[in-house]
Amino acid sequence: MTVTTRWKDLGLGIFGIAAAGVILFVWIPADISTGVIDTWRRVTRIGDAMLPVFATIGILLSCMGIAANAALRRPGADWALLHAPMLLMAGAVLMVSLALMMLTGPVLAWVVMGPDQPYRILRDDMPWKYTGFLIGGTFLIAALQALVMRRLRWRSVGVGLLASVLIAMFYGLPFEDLLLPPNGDF
Amino acid sequence: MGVLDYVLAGIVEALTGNPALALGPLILSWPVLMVVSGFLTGVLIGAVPGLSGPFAMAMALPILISAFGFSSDALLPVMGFLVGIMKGATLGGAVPAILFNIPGTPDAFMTTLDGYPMAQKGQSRKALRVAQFASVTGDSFSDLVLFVCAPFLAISIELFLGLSEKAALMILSLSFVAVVVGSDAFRGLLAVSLGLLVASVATGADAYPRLSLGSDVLAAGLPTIPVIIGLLVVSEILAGLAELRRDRHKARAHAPTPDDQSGLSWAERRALLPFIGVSMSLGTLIGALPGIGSTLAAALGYTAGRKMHKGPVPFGEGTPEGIASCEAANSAVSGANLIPALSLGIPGNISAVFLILAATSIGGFNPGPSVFRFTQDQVNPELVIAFGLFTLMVVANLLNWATGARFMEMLGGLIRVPRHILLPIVLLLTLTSVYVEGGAMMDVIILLIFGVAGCLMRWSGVPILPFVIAYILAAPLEMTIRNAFEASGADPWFLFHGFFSPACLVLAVAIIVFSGWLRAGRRAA
Repeated sequence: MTVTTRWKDLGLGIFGIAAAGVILFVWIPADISTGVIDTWRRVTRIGDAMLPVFATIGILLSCMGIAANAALRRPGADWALLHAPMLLMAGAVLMVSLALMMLTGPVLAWVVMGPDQPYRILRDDMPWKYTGFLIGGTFLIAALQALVMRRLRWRSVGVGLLASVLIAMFYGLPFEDLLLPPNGDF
Repeated sequence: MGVLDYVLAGIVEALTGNPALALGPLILSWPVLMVVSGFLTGVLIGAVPGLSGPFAMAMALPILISAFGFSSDALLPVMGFLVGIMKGATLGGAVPAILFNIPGTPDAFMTTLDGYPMAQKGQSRKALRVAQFASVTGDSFSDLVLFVCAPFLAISIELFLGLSEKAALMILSLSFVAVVVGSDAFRGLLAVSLGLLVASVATGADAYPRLSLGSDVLAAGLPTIPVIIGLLVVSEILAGLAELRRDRHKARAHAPTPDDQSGLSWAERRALLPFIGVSMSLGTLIGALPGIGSTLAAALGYTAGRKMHKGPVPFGEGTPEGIASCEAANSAVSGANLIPALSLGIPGNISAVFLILAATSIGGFNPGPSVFRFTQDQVNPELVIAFGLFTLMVVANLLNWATGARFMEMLGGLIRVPRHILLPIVLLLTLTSVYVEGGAMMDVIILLIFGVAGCLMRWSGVPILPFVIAYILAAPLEMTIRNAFEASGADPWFLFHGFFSPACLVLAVAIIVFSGWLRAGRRAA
C-alpha cells in the first residue's frame, strides 16, 4: 500500500464517518417525521427512519473498516486517476451545450419575431423545435472530441452536426409530440 | 389453468399477441420484431470497443418506454428488445477482441488471448465461428437452466419462506453483492449503504417525503432511470473520454490481418464440445449468484479449459479451445443471471437491473416469487408474461444460431470507428433519451449529477453495481420488512425466529467482516 493510497483511504474513511454522523444525528432527525419504530393510535409499525438509519449505520461501519484497514496499513481497493481537469472541462462543455439547447431557440425567436411573441407557442414548430438541439448537440460533440484530441477540427463539427441531425430525426420523425431537450424549458 | 396452459399462453402472447404486421395467417408480433432488433443492435453495440450491452440498454429503455407507453402490451416488446441486446452484446464483444485485440466488452478480455493470435495467423473467420458456436451453446444451456430453475426456486420460496425469511434473504443477497463486486468488501458495503440511503429520499409510508430537505424537486422523488443511467453510463463516458485524452493513440484501432477464410467443420465443433460443456456449466453456476458477473466466469472457464487441453497449440497462442472456453462461460452467465432476478426480484447484474427497471417502470409485472403462482381458477397475467419472456429468449437464441456468425463477420469495418467520435455521440443520445422519457430538464440535471457521482465512485474504488442493485432493491426490502414486522405483531425480534432467517443474517454479517479482513490481510502478505 503506497503512502498516498493509505492517506486517501484514511481520508475516505474519516469523511464517511463524519458524513454518517451528520446524517444520523442532524439530517435524519430533522427531515423524517417518524422514528425507526413508530406507534400511532396504539398501532406499532416500522417508521420511515428505519431504512435511512440502517443505511447510514452501514456507511458508518464500512468507513470505519476502510479507515481501520488504512491505519493498520492493510491495502484496500486501488484508487483510479481522477482526471479532474478533464472532468471540469467536460462539465463546462455540458453546461454550455445545455444552455445552447435551452436558449438558442428563444433568443433566435426574440431576434426574428420580436419580444411580443411568446416562445411557448413556437417551441414545437419548425425551425424552433430543432435550432437549439442542433447547435447545442453539435457543440457538445465537437467540443468533447476537441478536448480528447487537444485540437478542434472542422471534421469534428461536421460529425457533431450530422449526429445531431440524425438523433433529431430519430426522435422527431416517428414521435411528433416529443420535445427535444431542453428547448426553452425554463 | 395448468402449467402447460400457462406455457402455451406465454408462447402465444409472445409470438402473436401484439401484431406489428399481419400477412394472411402469418403474423409478425411486436415482441418478436423487437427481440430481433435488440439482438442485431446488441451485436453491433457489443462489437464497438468502448460501448457495451448496458450502454445500449440504458439508451434504449427511455426510448422504448416513450414509444410503447405504459400499458401491459408494452412489457414484452420492451423486455424483448432488452433481452435481445443482452444476448447480442455478449456475442458482439468477441468481434473486436478477435480482430483487433480490443475486448468490446470487459468479459471478452480472455477471448483476446487466443482470438487475436488466431486472427494474426489469418484465421479470424474461424475464430469468429468458434466464438459464436461456443457463445450460443453456452447461452442456450443457461437459458434452459433458467426456464427450469426460476419457477422451481420461486415456488419453493413462496411455499417455504415467510416475509421475515424473504427480508433476510434480500439482506444476504445485498451483502453478497457487496463482497463479490469490486476488490474491497468495505467499499462494497459502502456502495450498498449509499444505494439504500439515496433510495430513501422522498419515499416511505408517511405523508411527508423523507430526507427531501424541504426541496420541491427532491419531494417529487429521484427519477430512477436518470439515477441509474447517470451512474452507469454517463460516468463511464466521462471516464472513457478522460482516459482517451491521456492516451490518444487508444482512440484508433488498427486494420485486421488478411484472412484465409477457413470455416469451422462439424468435427471441429464436436472437438470443442467438452470445453464448452465445462465452461458453460461454470458460467451458469456463477451467473446464478448475484453480482459475480461474466468476467470471473470467463476467467474460470479459460482456466478450466487450459487444464483440460492437450492439443498441439497451447492456450494463449491461438487455439480454438481457448476461445470456446471463455466465450461459453461468459455467455452462460447471461441467462442464469436472470434466475435471482425473476424468481426473487434480486437483480444479479446490470442487464437484470434494466429488465427489472423496465418491468417496474411500465407496471403490470413485478419480478419476484409472486410471478410464478400457477393459479388454477383465474389467469395470473405475470406468469403469462414470464413465459412470453422465455419464448423471446428462445427466439433470440434461434436467431443467434442461424445468423450470429454471419453478422459478426460483417462488423469488421464498422468497429474501426474511433471511441473519441463514438462516446460524445452516445452522451448526446443518452441526454436526449432521458429528457424525452421524463420530459423535464431536472431529469437531465439529475443524470449529470449522478454521472459525476459515478466518476467519484470509480476514482475512489467504490463499485457502482452494488449501489445500483441496492437502489433497486430498497423499496421491496423496506416493504417486506414493514409487512413482516406488522405480521409478527410488532415483535422486535421478528427477523430472528426459526432457523433460516437468523442463519441468513449471521451469514450476511460474517461474509462482510471476514472477507473484508481476509482480503486486506492477503493483499498485505
